[in-house]
Amino acid sequence: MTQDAQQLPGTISGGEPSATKKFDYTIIVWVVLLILLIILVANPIFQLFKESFFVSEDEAGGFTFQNYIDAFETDEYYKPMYITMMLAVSVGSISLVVGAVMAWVVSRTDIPFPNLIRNGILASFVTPPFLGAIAWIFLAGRNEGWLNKWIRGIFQLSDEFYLFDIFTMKGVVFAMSLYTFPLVFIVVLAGLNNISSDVEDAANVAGGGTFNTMFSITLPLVAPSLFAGFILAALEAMILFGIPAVLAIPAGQHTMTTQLRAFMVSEDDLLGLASAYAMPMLILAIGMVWTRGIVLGRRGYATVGGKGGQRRPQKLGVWRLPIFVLCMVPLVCAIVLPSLALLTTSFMKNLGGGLVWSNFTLWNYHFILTNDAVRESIYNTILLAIMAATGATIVAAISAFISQRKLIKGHQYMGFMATAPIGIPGIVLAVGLFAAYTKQPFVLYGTLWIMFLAYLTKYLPLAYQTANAGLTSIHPELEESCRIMGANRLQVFKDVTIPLFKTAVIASWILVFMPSLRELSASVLLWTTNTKVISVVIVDFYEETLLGPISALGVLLLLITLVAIAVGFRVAGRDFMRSAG
Amino acid sequence: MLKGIIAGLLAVAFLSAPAFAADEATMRAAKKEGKVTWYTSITLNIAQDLCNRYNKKKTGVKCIVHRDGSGKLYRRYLQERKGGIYVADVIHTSNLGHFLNLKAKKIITPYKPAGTDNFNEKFVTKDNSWTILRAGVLMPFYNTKKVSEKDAPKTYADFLDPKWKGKIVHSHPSYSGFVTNGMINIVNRFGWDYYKKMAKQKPKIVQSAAGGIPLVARGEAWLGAGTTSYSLLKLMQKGEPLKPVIPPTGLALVTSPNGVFTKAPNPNAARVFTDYLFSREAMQLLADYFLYVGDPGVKYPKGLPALKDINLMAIGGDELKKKNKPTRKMFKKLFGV
Amino acid sequence: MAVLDLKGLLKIFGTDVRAVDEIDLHIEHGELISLLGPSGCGKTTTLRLVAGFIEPNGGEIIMDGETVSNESSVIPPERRNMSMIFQSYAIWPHKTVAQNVGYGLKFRGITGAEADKRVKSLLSVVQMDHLGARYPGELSGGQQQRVALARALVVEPAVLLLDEPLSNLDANLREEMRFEIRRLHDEFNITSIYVTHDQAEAMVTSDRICVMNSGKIEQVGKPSDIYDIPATKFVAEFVGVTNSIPGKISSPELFEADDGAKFMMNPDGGKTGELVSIRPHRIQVHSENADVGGSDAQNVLDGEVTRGYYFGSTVDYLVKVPGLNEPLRVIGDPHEFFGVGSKVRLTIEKAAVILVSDS
Ligand SMILES: Nc1ncnc2c1ncn2[C@@H]1O[C@H](COP(=O)(O)OP(=O)(O)OP(=O)(O)O)[C@@H](O)[C@H]1O
Ligand SMILES: [Mg+2]
Repeated sequence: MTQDAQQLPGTISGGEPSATKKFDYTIIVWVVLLILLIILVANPIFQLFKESFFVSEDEAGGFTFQNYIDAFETDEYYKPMYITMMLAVSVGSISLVVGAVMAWVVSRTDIPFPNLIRNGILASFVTPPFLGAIAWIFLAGRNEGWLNKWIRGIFQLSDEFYLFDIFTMKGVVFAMSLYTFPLVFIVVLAGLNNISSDVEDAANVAGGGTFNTMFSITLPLVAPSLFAGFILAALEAMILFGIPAVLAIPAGQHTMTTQLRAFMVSEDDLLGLASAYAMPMLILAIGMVWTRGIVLGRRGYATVGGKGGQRRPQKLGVWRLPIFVLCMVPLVCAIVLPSLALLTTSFMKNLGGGLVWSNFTLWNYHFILTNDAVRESIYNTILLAIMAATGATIVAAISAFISQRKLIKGHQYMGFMATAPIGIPGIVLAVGLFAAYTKQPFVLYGTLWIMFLAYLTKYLPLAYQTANAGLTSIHPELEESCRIMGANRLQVFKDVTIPLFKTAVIASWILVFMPSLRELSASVLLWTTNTKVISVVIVDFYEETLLGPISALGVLLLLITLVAIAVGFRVAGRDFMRSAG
Repeated sequence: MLKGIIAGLLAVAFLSAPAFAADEATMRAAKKEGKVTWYTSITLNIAQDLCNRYNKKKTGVKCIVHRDGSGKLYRRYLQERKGGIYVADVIHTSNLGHFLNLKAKKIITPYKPAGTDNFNEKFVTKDNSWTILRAGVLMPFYNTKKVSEKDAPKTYADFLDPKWKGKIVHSHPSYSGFVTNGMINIVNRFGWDYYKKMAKQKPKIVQSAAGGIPLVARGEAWLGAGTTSYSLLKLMQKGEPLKPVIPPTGLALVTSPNGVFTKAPNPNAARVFTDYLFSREAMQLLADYFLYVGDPGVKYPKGLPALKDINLMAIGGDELKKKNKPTRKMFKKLFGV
Repeated sequence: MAVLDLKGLLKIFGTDVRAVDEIDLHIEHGELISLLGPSGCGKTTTLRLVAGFIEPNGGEIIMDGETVSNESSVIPPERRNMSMIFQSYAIWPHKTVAQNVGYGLKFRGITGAEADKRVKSLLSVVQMDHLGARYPGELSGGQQQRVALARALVVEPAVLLLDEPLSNLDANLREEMRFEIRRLHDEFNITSIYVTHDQAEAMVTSDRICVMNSGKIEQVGKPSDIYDIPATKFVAEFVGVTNSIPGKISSPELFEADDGAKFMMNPDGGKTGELVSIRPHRIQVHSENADVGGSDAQNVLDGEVTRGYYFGSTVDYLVKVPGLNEPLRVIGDPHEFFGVGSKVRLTIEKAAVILVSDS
């Protein structure tokens, strides 16, 4: 627990001469981590790569480029790529504008209830995107959507009239943006808060008005955050599976993720084709994460120094209320309306029957709670989420600890290893895991373990970042002062390190637990009869248009998530969700 | 001596074609196995209903339903088999073509369920490779609140009227064996031209055959290009504003086989459960759900047209096997997904 | 109380960073010695070597005759009966003030009422008795510092180590705490090593100052000696401002600058050096041609003012003198102000001209 790079654990302790050099524990740690990394990342990606050069149905077939030719030459397969790119760009841009403007409003103006807006946006992470999309079918279906009906009712319009149609690409963009703009918001808000108020005041003093200052000073200074936010949102739009599965397929459009799944569940064995098809996604995603890292890496640019005094919020004047209302719109669309839609639908006998007492039923809940598959999926979901959260947190906490306290040689690579999976889209990871662990000698397919691996890989970077941030705030001197007071290493660990690290560990646990509860894009390829999870059941039911039971299941999922958050607030303090950004 | 001969005969019989109904010994063995997993493409609520009823009997065998589309079930089983995972005991889908493949690869094993001797001959196979559990027709339909009886389509061609553009829902053949089957029949009759024009109508694509019904019932779509007759009629019985279209050209008959896996992890339970599926109780339940079954003794509910009153289109398993993949490919090409 | 001896102490980071380069230092019972030097010169490393956090690459640390650190074995920090105060205070945020202070006692077998009594009395020594139940997050910087002091002293350590304890405080508080530390030292009389890069702090608090530069000790001595008789150019320049004039000794009492000027100095038994150091305030400024008395007892130089800043209590001049390339820095009396361009006469006592080595 010293800051010293040269010290190996074990060589310093005790008064006895360490002439007999003890066994170098470094090796064990490294071997364990390396094996883990191979299992989680290297092997799946390697198998993915390998499979892409073999035609799976053709058992005798050798090395071939046929999969790549099939994947990129046929129009039907090429089109989803195009659509995905368009989606990424449009969703990225919309999220950028909405997220950035809201961040500016919250951090720079005298908008009423800024905390309500901020926390509301954070809370929109609570609704799983696929549930939101399903809820929006109830809200904005072309003919029967409540919003359309309502408008028709108010303006006495004909049945033919509609304002919204969620089953269009516009609908997909809308639904996606609802769940990606918070990413931009968080990044830009952090960027804005890092700019010292002096810099802006200086511009004001020099004669720049509110908007002039915003465009000529603030905007360029947050440019890296804006760019990073855009990349994040575009990346998310690219790798989302749930929303396009729910909304784009009925509209006759595949995206890359849904096409990838279509390959994987096809009657024919198309693993090779799927692997080839996953490659551009993998490369693009890693490229995007990488660019974002570079841009945000130039810290000096983003975090402009100067001791910021009290910020003077810009006066919005008469616009104060209208802008507040405008800011509430995305929140209402992302959280309030979908939750209400799901809740009411879950109690409806007949989906077209309206909100009348005769249409009330508990049947949907009865159905899901008596259905064995659903019950088992609830159990699996919770079990998997606990396993993933615990596993990821343990690995993350240990690697972060080693890395920060420089405990072993090569500690500097620890962070890289733990965050290596960060660019891999969930569905691509799933194809890789599928390729790697469905055949001898490592058959994990059909067990919860393969999904555990997927979740662990997917969320390890998040857990690591949280644990690492937590550890950074524990100054090594806190441990050293304990040492010099007379405590040995173990006592230091018990009295200081653990109590201080605990919060970060719990936060990291919950931050993995929550998304694991509703993980879909990897699960949807890896589940088997005995290993269904709630999200998969929902998509399953959706494919059978069992909208009532879906709503009930959705309400249940939201409840479990809310309980997790409530527990998180209690034990880890109210800001624990922030590190999610 | 006699015992030995009987045992020998039994062994031979069991090895060649164990076409016997479950006996006491099988029952006991099944109880020991304790559960049976049924891969089935029949709508979830029917599958669940069957299972729940079976479980209530407390035979000591617990039924586990795994419901999915025919194509996905087929793929999943093959995939699991490749990884050496055997979960499923009994399979039931709407794709006879797949059953031919399964039979050719000896993935399913012959079994003659108890009490099927007097079944309609169209529902049983000579070699007992499988038995048809249920039959239905692929039915076009419409929402009676949105479309008047007068305006409603009467023929397949009527669905191509531009006034229905954007108001039709169509199910996906890659997912539903029922739909693949029906589409092949329609293509046989009208050629691919029919679906080229259908694609121009920009129908909403849902996955399962029954998936379109709630959309039409809610009025989100007005017409359904074709769904499983049993789901439709059941919901009509419940009072949903729906009505079938019965074109004079005929409706595609889809028969859905049920078989037992060779490598069933619970082989005895598989047989006991299959016996149940073809028992009078289960057959009557299926009939109550507006399905046609092989058991001549069941009573069909009001509202289910007698098969002899419908002009039926049908194809054999070989044709299905041959045209299955091209049909799905063509659909993807025309409809984009 | 303890005597500390550092002998040939060496610490190498990586392959070639000689952070502590074979230093020798003897620290007496009850003495407060400060390590003074620029950033990166190895002060913290020395302190951490003494504490036992790191292992030396050579040499040894002897405490009361017992070797506590050498190349092959190191007694761990918890067994040295030392206390340390860190730059970041390192107050445990999850323990109350009283718990922080009382923590070390349990390792010394002091518990219960006795422990409470000691904690109370130490808290009152640092004037924190009313805040025992608070958490560190609810304290000001100065209060946290006092907690750190109390926590370090309550265990009655043999040696107290302080690593820039005041650097996080603002100027006023820092001044106040300097005296506080000295007061506490006088009260408890614990052998202490005090790391700082602030010379004023070192002057006020220490019995002796050890000036370090790139891993080596430049000079050890009483604060006044360090200031008045610096041994090296580095010390002279680091501790206060000075005029360093390169040249050579031509006779025991005469130093000849490279550019020609000559300086008389007091004979200093065989001392050698390549420079002389003259503190600016030891140079008197007079008007041109002023009668300044004999030029055999003092150095008299004529020059011209090239810069003069008025500071209220002093005036800071640069005076160009023939025979010296660099102008001399002179701190003068503000009663008599000479503008730029004024001709002035400077006088420097012999005793103010200090021969220093260049190393
Ligand atoms: N753990 C380490 N690994 C490598 N080099 C180190 C380490 N710790 C210190 N050094 C190097 O050793 C030298 C001395 O560092 P030290 O911390 O002792 O300086 P310091 O005198 O305390 O400086 P400051 O006044 O800035 O605190 C520096 O060059 C530093 O870069
Ligand atoms: Mg230091």
